[in-house]
Amino acid sequence: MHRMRQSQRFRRDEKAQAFTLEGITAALLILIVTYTLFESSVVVSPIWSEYGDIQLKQLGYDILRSLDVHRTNMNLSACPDTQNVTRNSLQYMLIQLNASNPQPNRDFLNALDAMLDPSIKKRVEVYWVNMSNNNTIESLTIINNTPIPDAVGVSRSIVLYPCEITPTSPFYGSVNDTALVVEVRMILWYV
Amino acid sequence: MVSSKLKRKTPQKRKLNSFVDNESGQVLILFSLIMATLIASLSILHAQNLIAGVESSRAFLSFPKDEIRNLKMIARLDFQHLDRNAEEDVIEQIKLLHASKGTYVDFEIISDNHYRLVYSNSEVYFTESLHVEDEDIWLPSGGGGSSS
Repeated sequence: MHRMRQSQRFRRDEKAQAFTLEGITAALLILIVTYTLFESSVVVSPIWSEYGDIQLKQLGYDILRSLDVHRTNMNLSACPDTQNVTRNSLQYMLIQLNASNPQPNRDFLNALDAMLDPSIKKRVEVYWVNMSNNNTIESLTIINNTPIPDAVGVSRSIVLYPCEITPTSPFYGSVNDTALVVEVRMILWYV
Repeated sequence: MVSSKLKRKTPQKRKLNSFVDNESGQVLILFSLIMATLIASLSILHAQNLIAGVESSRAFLSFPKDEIRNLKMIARLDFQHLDRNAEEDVIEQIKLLHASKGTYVDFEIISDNHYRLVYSNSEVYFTESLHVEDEDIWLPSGGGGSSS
């Protein structure tokens, strides 16, 4: 009788050990499954390329914003009054453009390059509405580089006053003695 | 030992054993249900974190705060130097330029120095009432104007 009870206790103990083992195995299994599940679906959020795009886009907007220096004053009798337009501003760059060879001025390029890291390449285009020609949208490439697919685009609209559109300007004839809105589009990408 | 073995195999004992087995089965089912709920809720939390991260960056990319500020700055700084006809021409040009990018933009002229800016695309609808000071304010030299 005593032996039987002993053996029963032993059996019960064995059963408990098996339960413990089972429990540990189950815990391990669940751990492995959970780990694999989360590990396989890991996405860094926000996605890295998107994160870089956001930063580049914000940088682009900030650059255009800081280059948009509104005229400090305007002498209408001496218009285009380039004395009162900052030379490294978008306004000055647009006023001085020549239809035969549209190139940005040196001061503007220096300011732009100073704000952009050398590892960032850029393309700058201008768009405007030709009101004399059935409101068609015309464009001109100011800085010509071929962007890669992973590029971001930013833009800013600038208002040019009638007298600032000189006969040598590419915008000449698009409007008849009225203000012209020029949209400067800048495409940025990392190289 | 032999007698006990025989005893164990009586139907009564077997019935008791099977009852015990059933009970542990129920406990197993209960625990597996708890575990399943736990894993499911954890994975929902995980997925929501991912979605929140991705969506907030998307929202940042798609909300055009700089473009809206640009439009407001044009209204504040340029409209006061233009007569009504030139103003309407500028609004028309802005409309066309933004339409080419899939955005509807309009300045509704409510009164002489009161406009209603509307900016709308597939993701954002924004509208704001703008009161433009009529006095001739040129900005101090070197300043780019305030963007608010």
